[in-house]
Amino acid sequence: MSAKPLSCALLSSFTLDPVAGLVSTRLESLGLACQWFVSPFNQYPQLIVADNSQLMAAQPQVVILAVAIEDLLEKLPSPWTNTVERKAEAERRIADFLSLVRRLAGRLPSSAVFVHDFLPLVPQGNLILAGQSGVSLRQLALEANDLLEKHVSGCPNVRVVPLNEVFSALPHAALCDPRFYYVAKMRLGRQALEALAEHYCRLLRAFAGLRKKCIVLDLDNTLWGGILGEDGPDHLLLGGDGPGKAFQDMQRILLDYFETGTLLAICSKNDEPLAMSAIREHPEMVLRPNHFAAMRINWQSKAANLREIAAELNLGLDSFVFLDDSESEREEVRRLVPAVTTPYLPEDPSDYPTFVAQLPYFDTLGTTEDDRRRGQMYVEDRERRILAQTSDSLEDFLRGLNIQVLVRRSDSQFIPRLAQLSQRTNQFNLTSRRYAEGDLMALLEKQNWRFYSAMASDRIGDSGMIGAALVQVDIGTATARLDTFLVSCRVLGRGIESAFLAGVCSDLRANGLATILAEYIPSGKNSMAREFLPNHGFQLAELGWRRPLDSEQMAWPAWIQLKIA
Amino acid sequence: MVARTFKVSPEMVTPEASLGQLPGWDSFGHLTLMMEVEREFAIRFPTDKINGPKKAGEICDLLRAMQTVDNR
Repeated sequence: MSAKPLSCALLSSFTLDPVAGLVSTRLESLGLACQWFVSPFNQYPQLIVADNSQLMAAQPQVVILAVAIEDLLEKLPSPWTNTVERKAEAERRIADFLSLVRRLAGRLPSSAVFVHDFLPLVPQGNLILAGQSGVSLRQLALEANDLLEKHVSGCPNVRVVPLNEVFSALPHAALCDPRFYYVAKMRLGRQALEALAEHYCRLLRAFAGLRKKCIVLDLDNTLWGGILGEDGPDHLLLGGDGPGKAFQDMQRILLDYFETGTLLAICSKNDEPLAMSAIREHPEMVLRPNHFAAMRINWQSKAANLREIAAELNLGLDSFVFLDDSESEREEVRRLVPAVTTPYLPEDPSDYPTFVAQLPYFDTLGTTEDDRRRGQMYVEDRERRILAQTSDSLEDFLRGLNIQVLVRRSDSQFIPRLAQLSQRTNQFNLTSRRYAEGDLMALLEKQNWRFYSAMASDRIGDSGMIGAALVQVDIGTATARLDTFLVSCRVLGRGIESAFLAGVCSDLRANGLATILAEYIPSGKNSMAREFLPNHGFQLAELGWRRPLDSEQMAWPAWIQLKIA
Repeated sequence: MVARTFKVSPEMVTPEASLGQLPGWDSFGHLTLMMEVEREFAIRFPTDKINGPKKAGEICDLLRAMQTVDNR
């Protein structure tokens, strides 16, 4: 969790100030602080264009641009008597707005910019006639949204806030409260403000990389309908054309999560062989054993099983979301492992698919190649654990794996994954400094910063990029400062971190550096890295740890083949 | 409710606590507060009353006046 507050700016064509307070309150309870710069209403164009504006001075990490279509297209010519002029004027203003968005994105390249799309909030009169003009507010908004979507695809740091979906749970008439509009130019009513605040929270959590990592699922009446031990595999409610389709639809949504980097696991009180054969062979199952990173199918308590799953996957309990249809099980989990997020599941399985699709814990601003492969990689880890259990000794197992580690200097294409690792890695992380993509972009542009990545693979599979190091070099004193050094928890216990450090040091030495400085900053979660520096020849110095690079080469375990590129 | 909306200690909210004097109770804070009061009491202030009360006590007076009207 990041210690410094997120700096956010809210630019709006109408009064939207109360939303900032709502967002701050909600995020505080999650341990995320944010600091707001809220533009005086309708001053957004000046703030974006002026060189010395407060906005540019603040350099916010996140900028939200909320412009109402009613404001942008205010006082257009009549749709009845000046149709042509109306359309031309609307197009001109929309084009101006889009170029303003591009300008904003270009002037704050390391900020994440979120732009509201256009949704007429005020109900329109005379629906039948309005549609015939071809230039009603609704039609102009539709065209503007099309253009906005196209436009944004060319600006990597801009994303659209889809208002229709943000407000989907509200009746349209509740969006705008005319009283507050007339007294305070506030276009959104209370419920709409709350829905918007909820959405902003999701955006900011995604920006800060605060996503949960794993969904743990019960089986009976959660992943499928019915009780396997009583009804038998042939009578499960799963798939087909009836209510069983809800369970299958939910599984498809879970598969989407799996394919975008969220892990799945099973925790169920059931007969293991029977449950495994249903998962493996039931013709209507979407999820199969190779989608689950860990499985606990036994008669132990769910709390004990969840702790075991966390230990097996090497993840903190706070990375888990547990879904179970039984309130008594959920209550027990909430009481015994409160770090696990245990939401209520809807009573009716027909509501499961939408509920699971809208779980607010897994938002990301984008996916990396590693996200798309993560589920698969954890399943490979499961195979490795089985292999470890059947090997004579740990060393035998490690030798048999044929581990290869590739260490290389990295460029901007690695930044998304680098940011992700810096935000998500807790255990083997020397300094726990958290960087967003924009921060890393800015560092990489400086000549004296170097990024290293480590990729690992073995005979079971490719683990992808599992290590990252950020180094600040001072050519004058031939000194390198290890700002960040981290290795994903997935590959710990195999000596890969030693090989990675050796690779980084060797490249630094080849580049003429004589000394490396490093720090260990305790975070409460990274105690496993405490002895790492002294164990690798670092001596305690006035500001942290120091090691000469020109003495004997750093050692790493013999079972790892190290390549430096 | 005033204390909760502006995150101040309840002791600070006397009937005389007012807009501009209590931390957080500015013109935008006022809108949030009036929305919260509307939700809590399930009422709807007429437009001309939204910016009427400037003190905690005046909000109570307004609520009382509106409830009297309802009860008639």
